[in-house]
Amino acid sequence: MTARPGLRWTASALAAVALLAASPGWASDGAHVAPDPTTAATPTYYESAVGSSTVSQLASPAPALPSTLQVADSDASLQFTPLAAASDHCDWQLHIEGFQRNHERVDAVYDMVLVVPLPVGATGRDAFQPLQRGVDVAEGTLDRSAPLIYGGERVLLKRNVGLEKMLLPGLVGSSRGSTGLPDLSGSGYQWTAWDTIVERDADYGATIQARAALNYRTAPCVSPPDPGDPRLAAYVITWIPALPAGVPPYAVRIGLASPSP
Amino acid sequence: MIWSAFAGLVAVLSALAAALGGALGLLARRGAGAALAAVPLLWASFEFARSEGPSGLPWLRLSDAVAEWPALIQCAALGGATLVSAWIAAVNAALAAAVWGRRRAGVPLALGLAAGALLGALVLQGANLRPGGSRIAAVQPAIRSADRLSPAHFAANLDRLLALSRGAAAGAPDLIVWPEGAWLRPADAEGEPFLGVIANVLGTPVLAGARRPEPGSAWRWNSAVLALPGGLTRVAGDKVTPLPFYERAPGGRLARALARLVPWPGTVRAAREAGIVEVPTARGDRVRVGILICIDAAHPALARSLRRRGAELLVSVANEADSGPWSARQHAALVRLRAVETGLALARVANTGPSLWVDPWGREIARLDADTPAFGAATAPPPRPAPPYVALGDAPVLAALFLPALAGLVSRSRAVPRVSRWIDSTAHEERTR
Repeated sequence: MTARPGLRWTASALAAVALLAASPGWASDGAHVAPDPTTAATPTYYESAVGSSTVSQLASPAPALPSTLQVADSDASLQFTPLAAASDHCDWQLHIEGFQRNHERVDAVYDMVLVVPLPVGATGRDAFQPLQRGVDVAEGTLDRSAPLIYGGERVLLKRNVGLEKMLLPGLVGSSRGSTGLPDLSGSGYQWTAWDTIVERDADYGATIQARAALNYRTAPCVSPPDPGDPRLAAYVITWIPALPAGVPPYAVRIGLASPSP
Repeated sequence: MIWSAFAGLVAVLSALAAALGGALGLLARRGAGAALAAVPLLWASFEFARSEGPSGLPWLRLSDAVAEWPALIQCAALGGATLVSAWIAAVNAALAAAVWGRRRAGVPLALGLAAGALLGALVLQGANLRPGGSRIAAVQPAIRSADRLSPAHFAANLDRLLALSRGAAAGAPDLIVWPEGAWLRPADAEGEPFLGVIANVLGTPVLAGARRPEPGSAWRWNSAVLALPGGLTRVAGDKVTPLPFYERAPGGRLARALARLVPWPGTVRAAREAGIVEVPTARGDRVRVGILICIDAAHPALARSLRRRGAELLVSVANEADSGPWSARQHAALVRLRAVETGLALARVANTGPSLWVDPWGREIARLDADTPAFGAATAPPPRPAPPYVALGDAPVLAALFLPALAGLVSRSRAVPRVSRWIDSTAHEERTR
């Protein structure tokens, strides 16, 4: 009946991928440049944000939800690929390739959130149905990949409707580029959040590389996202909930690529 | 300031106890029998007034003292803690009568009254648990008082809560419960999204004690937030009976006036009623959980109202790190009375423990020892048919105790007529023999 707390909370993490990852120079911490091993000692985003303090020292007595992000672009790509079509439905795969970041070096509990646009119906309800438990995160390449293990756990990002209702609305604004999420009104898509919690795994390497995929089903009439619409992108948000709202969570933007021929 | 508040409370309690002693003294002038016969009435009235009146202090009832012996508290199903206390007071008054030279009256009275324990044992013999129920996991982090609400310890506390919750989730419970005030991040009317993240990762609903500031003021509610897999959260309930003055924010006209005169320490708003929340279970159905926060569990009326409003299970979240082992042990004992009174199983989850699970007859199912970080889970059995106390409350017991006295006054005989006359007459016979 009684178990002691020695159990280690090994969180999963893709987001680990994203979050725990930070690249050289926190102001441009996205991974649009491949990490350079020689710059591994360059402060990560949260190292710069925290400075010489610790997260515990900076922890807010009344932490609020963040209302801004620190967004950095990356070379990773987001694609929506039709898999199969039937008379009453279409199956799709959303996949992210080439994500890469330096591993964040601040000891904390992180929420790693993958924010992706998915089809929305006229009433504002989901116009898609996931075909799997969550977003699978792997490392390696398309032909040689393995599940991403972080802190001893396989990383799986689960849909989080709570964040969609309580966190994302505060981050969305039509005129926000580097500090928030764009407004998707009229695109036929809406923001969805998929996340997990991770506690920093100090034994993990200096760089995190990841790819991710989600299969989902829609009605046959749903259009693929328009690659010409710059609003349609994915974001990997790293959030340390103990920090004050004045430290914006770090987000890596992953642009939408044209479907493969 | 805090010590001033405590001193004030001690004065209030002392005044009530003094009033009880004074009333007994006055009655004793009319005969010891009258005084002894009036003990159950006066004691039950004293406890009821102390608990449910303005002082709002429900601790140290006689019923609490015997709550760890389920056979002794089964009459709570009829008349609540008030009846249990009155019964114990009556037994002790009869014993006193026996000791003070009234053996012919006191001994049979004491024996007859004590036989109530046998009836309780018989009730327990016939108590059959229905199959089914909900598996409730408790997370008991045992975080020190100084560290509990300290931002500097947020990460360490969260780490411990998560480690224990992870272990609890492995047993596939229907609900994981964190103790009172376990969560530092403030909740709002919609709950707290990071708790939703945790429930989502665990894949199990989490009920957590949290602080909920009132927008635009320095006051707050002492709340419990339910977070569901999928990330949605909601406020499940707020504390109804914050400790007067010390904890409770000034709500009434007099309290607000007092707060302008003295540095009033309380900042916790009082909710109108205890909360009920529907929790989806692993079986695919839902269970209606009634929430009792901290000393709300010491108020029978709150638990009774939860059963009347459809609760199928009681969950009591507590802290105990700030008040110490005396309150922890007492709260862990008295929750058994709430189970008997309502016919509901109860899970108590306290920061420093002990945490325990109790069946609808007040019997302990499982326990986590105090002062040890731990998690555990047990199945809380389904409700039994609602006991009479759920519908009737304390009124019949108080009326039954007062009626003889009223009848005595109306008939201008002694205050508590027959029993007292019998005690006095048998004592007289013994003296003249």
